Amino acid sequence: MAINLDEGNLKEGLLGLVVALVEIIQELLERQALRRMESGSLSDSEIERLGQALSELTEALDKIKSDNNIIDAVQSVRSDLDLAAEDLIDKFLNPASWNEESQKEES
Amino acid sequence: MNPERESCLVEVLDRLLNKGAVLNADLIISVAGIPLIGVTLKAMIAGMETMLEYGIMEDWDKSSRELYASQETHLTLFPGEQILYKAFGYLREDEGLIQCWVPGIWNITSQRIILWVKTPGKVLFETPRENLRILRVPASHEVRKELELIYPQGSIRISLSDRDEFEEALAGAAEATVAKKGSELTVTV
Repeated sequence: MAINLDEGNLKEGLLGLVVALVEIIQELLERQALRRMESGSLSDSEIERLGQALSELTEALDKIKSDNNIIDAVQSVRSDLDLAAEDLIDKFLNPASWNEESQKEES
Repeated sequence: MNPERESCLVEVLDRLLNKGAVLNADLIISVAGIPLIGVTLKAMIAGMETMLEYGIMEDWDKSSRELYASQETHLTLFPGEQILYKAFGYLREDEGLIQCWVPGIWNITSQRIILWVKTPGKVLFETPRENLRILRVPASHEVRKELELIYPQGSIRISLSDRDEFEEALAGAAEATVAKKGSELTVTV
C-alpha cells in the first residue's frame, strides 16, 4: 500500500491529500445524514438545515479544489486509498493470501 | 467533470458506521512484577442512528438539538422588507477589515443587499439597494467568478457560483422598486 504524492509539487500533493480526506469524511457525513433523515426522528426544519449545510460544504470543497488546481491530485489520492481499502478487504476475506505474500517476499 | 464513482473506502467506512464498532481494552503497567498503573479503555464508533438504536447518547442527541434550536437566529428585516433572492457566496473587501474571502449567504431584499452568516448569526455586510453599481472583474484579473460592487461608502468583491443569476435578481429587484415608486407617484398625483 502506497499513496503517491507528487514530489515535484509538494503543495498540491499535500493539499490534495488533506482535501481527499476531508472529502471522504464529507461523503460519510452525507450518507449518515441520509440515514437520520430517513429514520424520521428529525423535524422538517432540521432536515432542511442539514441539507443546506451539507450542500454548502460540498460547494466550498469544490471551490477549494478548483481554486488550487488540485482536482487531479485529489482524484489520484482517492483512487490510491480505494485500492488500499480493496486490498485490505481482500486480505480479510482471504487470509491465505497473507501467507503467499510473505513467502514470495522471502524467496 | 469526472464521472460519479462509488468509492470503495467510503463504502467500507459507511458499513462500519452503520454496524458500529466497540473496542474494550484493559491494561496494567507493572514494574518488577508489581502493577503500578491501570488503564481501562472503552471506545465506540457508530453512526448516530445506530447509537440511538442501542440507546446510547440519546439524551445528548436530544439536548444538543434543542440547544441549537433555541439559539437559532434569523435575519432581522425592516417592516415591509422581503427577501427576493438568496444564495451562498463569498465577500472580500480590498480595503478594510476583511481582506480574505468570507463565506456567507447573500440576500437581496426589497431594500438592501446583505451578507448573512448563520453561525454565529451576524450581518457581515449590508448596504441599501440604492446608488449601487455592479461591475464584472475582467477575466484576466480574477481568481474566481467575481463581481465588484461599488456603493456610496466604498467597494467590495462578491463571489458566487452563479453570478449571472445574482445579477439578474438584482436587476429584477431594481425594476420592481422603480415600478413601485412609479405607482406611488401616480397615487399622489
